[in-house]
Amino acid sequence: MAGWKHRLPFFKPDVRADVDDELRFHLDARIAEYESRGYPHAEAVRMARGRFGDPDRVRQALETHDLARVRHTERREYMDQLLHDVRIAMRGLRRTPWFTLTVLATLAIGLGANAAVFSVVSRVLIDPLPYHDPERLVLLYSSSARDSRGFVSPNEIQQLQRSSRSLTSVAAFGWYAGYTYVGDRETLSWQGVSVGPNFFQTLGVRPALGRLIDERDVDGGAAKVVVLSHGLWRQAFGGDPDVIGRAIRLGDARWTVIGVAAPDFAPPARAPQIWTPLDLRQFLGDRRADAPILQAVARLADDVPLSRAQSEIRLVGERAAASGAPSPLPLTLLAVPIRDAIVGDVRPMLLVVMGAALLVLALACVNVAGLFLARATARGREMAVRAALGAGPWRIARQLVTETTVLGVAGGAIGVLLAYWSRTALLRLGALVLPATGAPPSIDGPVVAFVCLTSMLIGIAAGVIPALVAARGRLSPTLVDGNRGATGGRASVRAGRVLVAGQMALALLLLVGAGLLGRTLFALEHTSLGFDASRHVLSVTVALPRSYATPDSQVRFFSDWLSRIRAVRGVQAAGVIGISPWNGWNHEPIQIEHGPDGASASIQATVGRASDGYLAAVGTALVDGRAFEASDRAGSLPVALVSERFARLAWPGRRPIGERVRLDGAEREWRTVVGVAADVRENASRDLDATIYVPAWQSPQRWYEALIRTSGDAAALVPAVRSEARALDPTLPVLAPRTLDEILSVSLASTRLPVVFTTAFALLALVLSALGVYGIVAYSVALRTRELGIRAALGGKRADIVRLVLSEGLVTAVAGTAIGAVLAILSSRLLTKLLVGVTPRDPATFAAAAGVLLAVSVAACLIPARRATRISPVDALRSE
Amino acid sequence: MAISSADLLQGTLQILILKALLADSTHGYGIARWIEETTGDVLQIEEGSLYPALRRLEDKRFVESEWGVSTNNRRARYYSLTAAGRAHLRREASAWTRFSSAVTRVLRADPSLG
Repeated sequence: MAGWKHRLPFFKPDVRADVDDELRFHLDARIAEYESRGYPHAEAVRMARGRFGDPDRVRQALETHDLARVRHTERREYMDQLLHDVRIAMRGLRRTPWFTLTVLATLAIGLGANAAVFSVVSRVLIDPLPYHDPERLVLLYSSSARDSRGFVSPNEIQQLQRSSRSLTSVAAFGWYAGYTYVGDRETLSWQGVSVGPNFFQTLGVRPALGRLIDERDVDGGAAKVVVLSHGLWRQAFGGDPDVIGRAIRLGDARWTVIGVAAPDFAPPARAPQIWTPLDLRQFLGDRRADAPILQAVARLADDVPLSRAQSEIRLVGERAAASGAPSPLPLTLLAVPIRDAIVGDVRPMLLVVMGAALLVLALACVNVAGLFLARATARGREMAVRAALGAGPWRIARQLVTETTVLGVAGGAIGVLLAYWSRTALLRLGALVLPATGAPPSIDGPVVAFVCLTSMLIGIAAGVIPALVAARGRLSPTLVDGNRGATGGRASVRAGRVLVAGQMALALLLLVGAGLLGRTLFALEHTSLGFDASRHVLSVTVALPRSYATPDSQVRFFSDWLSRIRAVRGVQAAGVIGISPWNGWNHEPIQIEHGPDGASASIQATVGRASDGYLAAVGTALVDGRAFEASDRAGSLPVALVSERFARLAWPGRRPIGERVRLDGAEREWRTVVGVAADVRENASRDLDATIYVPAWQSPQRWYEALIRTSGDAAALVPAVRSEARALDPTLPVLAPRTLDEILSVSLASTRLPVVFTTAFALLALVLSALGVYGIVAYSVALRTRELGIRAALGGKRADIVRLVLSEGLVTAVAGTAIGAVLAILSSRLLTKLLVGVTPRDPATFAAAAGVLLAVSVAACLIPARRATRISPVDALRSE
Repeated sequence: MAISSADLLQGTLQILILKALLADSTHGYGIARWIEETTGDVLQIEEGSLYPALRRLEDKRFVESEWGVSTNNRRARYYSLTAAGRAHLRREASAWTRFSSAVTRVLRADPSLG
């Protein structure tokens, strides 16, 4: 009587009504009893109530109790059924180990790839940056038509500090400077960044030890104090806490260690090893006040939206520009949210990689659904038996979904392990490209949660389709005529074809993406840079200490050093340059004495302050005239070299030799053009620059990048280059020795990373979809064994049978490929930002991707097709 | 002299209920009537308190319940004793008997109350 209610899943016994009935029965019975003893009705009611106590209180207690009991029972029944289903699923999966392994591998790869990629994406794009309230931090840039991320001037920073209302604090920080640490046993080169007294306070970070730089350190000029990075502290000082307050020798001065930065502190730029104080006032007095030589980080005031801060900052910038020296370039001050500033460049790349990983996952899901579909149909008889034994469609569907979910979760677990193991490789790949945003990516809570959720969803999704087919297949007379569920089989072949077409479409998307990115990489690697980015050219940087105060002493050191280096065995050429093309050399306005129409003109050009030997060292060809010579120095005729593009722009149709130019604003005297050099570009994704070279020794500075060419491996020259520098000055650091191919490969790394990933994912997709095609065709051949056998018996030719089977697979493959092509045409524009030298709808790439996919499909169909030709008519008939 | 249910210890009420169900399964009102008749209405329990006690016994699996139809043709919830409930009643009854005879002996000891 009572039992039937509990069998219905959505029927809750009506607890309230039951409690009400029970208590009312009691009271009514008692009232009736009193009335039968002769009491009037009202009196009987009163007495019964008195005897019962407060019925409302009892009713409430009972309702609470009964509701809790119902819930408890439901939960237990649910868990019991779930456990039962899981046990049955495990038993079924153990019976078909190959099937289980295939599904597990597919899911593990799909989910593992996603876990790994997601761990990086979440660290870089989602996790909060390691600052206090990072959403309100902005980096300030001066933006021009050519460079949207230019440095800002001391003057601008001071104006903002004084008058901005939308920024609560504005902190300056400088660029990298080399320091030579002279220890007891060793001499090391450190990179340092000088930071304003409010830098750390603006970011809102705390030290691991001691204190960070603050106002005290710039009181009356910048004090000689340093904050060590956590890594340096561990490395050079063994993590000794007594380092605080210790005096260390950097170059020729003594500095005091005041603190150690926190281990996860990531500065909003490349991480240095030490931080030193920066006093803005030192720049304000002289011509550097308006030079773009600093970076700045600022914190937005509470409740001030970025747009309002932006317009205020722009005004301040304009005012600063009006008060300072007239700038020929229209510059705008720009506030960029710190996350965009740090990760802006890698975001499109990471999103593409993430998208590719998700496509693979989708493909894996479809594949698994297809496998389960085939399995469910093959088990048509089992399902029919179950249905006959009284299992409703709901129950059977639940069983199927449980099976897929068990596999999904197991696949997810293996995937997390895979991701964990591949983490190191991933980090190495990403290290060149990914900005430091605190701790390195890890396979942690959010990642595991992501995988768990996805694997559950996959399990459910992959189970639903076969479950639906199974529910429909039940209607077929599977048990009655024992013909192996031909009707259900056909239905599932149709469903299977749809799934395979979906796989094809996804695989084509990935192949097209990989193809486009691969062609971009190829184009970039084969773009002529105008210099020889090879392992034969070594780049090192030397920054002289302040003791080299006069231009003479600077020139003497560098030219002595260069001539010593040129004497080293194997060195073919050596020269220095102020800022090299690959380091993003300066763009400056250049005055032309007699421009295209004879009148004076001005053009934008990149400026290389190079010594004699520079062009030969980097392999930039001299097209006309002469290169710089050692005699081009202070006091001699001011000269310049221009690039071909410069010459074309400035003097179209004329020979540039003998024309005169000067650096706008900075120079009084005209320079005579003495030669023309080949064009150069900063890196492969930039256009050719119009370039002018001026002799380094005619306006010397304290630091230069030296380029040294050798016939062999330039990296082998590092010790010699170092010792030649030390021979001249023992305390001098020789910084950042790298060959040009290393330097340029970094600039390609941001292209290579998505190429590596999408290619790997595309190959994976190819394999998965080949498996899918193979599976569905093989299955269909198995279902049609009798038909094919009869055909063979009636004299059907082998070729006809092969054609029959092939065409069936190919129709599906072609349809899927066509759908994929349409999807790719619609979506490939998302890649535009990453593509160079190839359009997002490049027909050749599309054709190649489709060709590869179809070829693989044909190969996958051939195996079952060959099997079909070997079906013997006798066996075929007997098998029924 | 009547003893109100407030004086009855919780465990005692449960023993009364189990004992009431020993002969036959019945509804809450039946239990109340049985106690009333058996004790000559000396133990005037607050009848509402029977039901929470029945739920507790059910939770301990000493009784079980089922909806049925009463003699006057109404829907009523019938409680019956389980094997565990029977065993529990036996244990509790012997403990109670020992307890009460001990108290009786104490009360009869010299000097008498007069």
